[in-house]
Amino acid sequence: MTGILIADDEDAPREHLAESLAEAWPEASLVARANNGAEAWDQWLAHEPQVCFLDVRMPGMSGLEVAEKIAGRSAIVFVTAFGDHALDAFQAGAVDYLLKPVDGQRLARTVERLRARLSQPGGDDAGELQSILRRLLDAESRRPWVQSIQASVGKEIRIIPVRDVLYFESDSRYTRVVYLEDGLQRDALLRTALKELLVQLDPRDFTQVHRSVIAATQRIAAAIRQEDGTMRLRLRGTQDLIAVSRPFQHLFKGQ
Amino acid sequence: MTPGRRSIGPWLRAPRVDGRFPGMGDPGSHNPLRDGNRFQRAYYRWALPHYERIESQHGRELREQVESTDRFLYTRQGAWAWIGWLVGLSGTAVALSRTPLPMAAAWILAAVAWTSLAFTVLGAWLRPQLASGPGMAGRAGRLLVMVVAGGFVGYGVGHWIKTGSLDPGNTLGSLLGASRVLLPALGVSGLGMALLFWAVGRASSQVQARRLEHARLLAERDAARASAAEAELRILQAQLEPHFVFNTLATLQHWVDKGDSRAGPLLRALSGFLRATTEMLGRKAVPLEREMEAVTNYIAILQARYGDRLGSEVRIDPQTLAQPVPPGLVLTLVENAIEHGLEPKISGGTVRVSSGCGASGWWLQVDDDGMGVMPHAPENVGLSNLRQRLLHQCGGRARFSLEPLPAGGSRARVEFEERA
Repeated sequence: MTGILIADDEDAPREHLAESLAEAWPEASLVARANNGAEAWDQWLAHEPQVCFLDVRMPGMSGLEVAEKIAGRSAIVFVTAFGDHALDAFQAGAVDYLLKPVDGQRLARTVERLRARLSQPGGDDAGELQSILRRLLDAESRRPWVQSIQASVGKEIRIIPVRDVLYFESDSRYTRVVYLEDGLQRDALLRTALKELLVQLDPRDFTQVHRSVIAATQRIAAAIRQEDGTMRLRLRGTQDLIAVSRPFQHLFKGQ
Repeated sequence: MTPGRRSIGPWLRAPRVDGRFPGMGDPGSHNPLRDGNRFQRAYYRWALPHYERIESQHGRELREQVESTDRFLYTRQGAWAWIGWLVGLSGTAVALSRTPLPMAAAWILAAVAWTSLAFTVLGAWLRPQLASGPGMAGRAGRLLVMVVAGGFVGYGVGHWIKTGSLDPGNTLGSLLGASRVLLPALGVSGLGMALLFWAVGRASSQVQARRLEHARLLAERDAARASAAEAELRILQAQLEPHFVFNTLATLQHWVDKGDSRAGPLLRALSGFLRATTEMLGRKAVPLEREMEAVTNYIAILQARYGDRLGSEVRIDPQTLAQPVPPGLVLTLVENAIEHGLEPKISGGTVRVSSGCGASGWWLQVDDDGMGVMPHAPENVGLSNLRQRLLHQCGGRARFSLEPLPAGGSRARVEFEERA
């Protein structure tokens, strides 16, 4: 059964698309809804749906940014209120797009194309798609990345420079930050959810390796493959071993 | 989202601020000398290199004045000036011929006097800075010396014609004898010339100053018109911004399809917003009350779409409701706060609009608790246009500031000084 994710920061258009899809594509099932880009990526990691409908303008992470992460692994349909010039880059048909308010006939054609694409395995050229997306994203002004993090430990508020961080780990609604202070390993709790923290960190300095773990790229010392097909990371400066989930194992292929 | 990518349409002309007088020296316009009879065309061909020399040495303005003087003198318009000049010359010559001077000398003297008078007046008119500017005293002195010297030379010539000899002793003696009458007469006429030169120069420089002032006012009016046109375009853009319109319609579509009772209020807010903004078009100022109608409807539309993510708080001092503001002022600030401050923030936030009266006037404020002001980010088109409009319409009486708030987010504030 085909799994679908719909991401839109407004409720009504998201529900409208969900209901239209249920009619146009009854054999597919909606596995996840997201109301921002960070949530969309997190939900993708949780469900790995085959098809993603992404609103282009979303807070946290735009539809284009989410697409860059999942390119080649899911079919992508952008949804937008207005024909963004950016979307002209995809005219070749690598990616489909819908205009809001979504029209039933137009959606039926999109579903037709999606069915065809999903039936032939390995059709998409992920590399080309990613390079188009990266070019589009570079042209846009990026948000500033955070330089330090405030975490409360008991009565004190600790200010932790991001360069001292070893890794972040999701702890239900909170995020545990593990960092070095004067060469000693410490940890603290942040009120920000990991998925929201992800969009504030410079992607050149931090690598997400699991739905619930982000590691400092420079600290990664080794990736160890286990007997059962799982993978663990060893970081410089700590004894902790970190799990790498399957969607991220391609980051550590070896030469 | 793409901050500040809006552009102003290409049909808006840049304001003319080069200070040129309309209709003068325009290469495309009709020139009665260049396109006139054979004499006029010949004169124009002869004068053209001189015009160009004047332009390269003294600037375009003087060239235009010289050309317009020529256009006056060498067309039918200037006929009376020539007739007046000839009558004056003839009268002087006739009067001089009654004196012991011979007829030819009287005519030559009259012609020299009237020609130099004409050139003096023309020179003073065209380059008034020579007649009344700095160094005027020195130039007046030189003029006086030249008039006196000219008078003595003239007397010498007259004496030679009369006696037929240039015996130095005789001539010098006669000169000395005549100087008692000649010196005061020449002094008075020299002073008269200097005075005339100065007066014409003064009049001319006043006319020029008025013209410059006029050109400056025209340029200013053009700039104000352009910025008003831009403001109008901004309102239209806010009204018809495709993301705003189609996202609103997408929500409406869904609610209408489902028979959701929220569709009615949203449709009312949308028509209220469109009506309020349409009524602003073409106006230089609107009462704050009218502006707030557009703003509250705009916020209501976004709140219907975003739900809990967008909070709002409007606290307008009733005493400020009648105050005039440039149309779209508050709307631009609110739009900016939401688009750049709140929309990019995952958890959403609150926009607060308030106004009040201070000691020397009143103020208007739009706060958000969103992403805050990005340091060194280029100001977006909407805000820089707003600054210009405030400057044009309120002069120095309105002060606009955009600052980060200590608790996060930003504050846009406009202070209006009450006219004393």
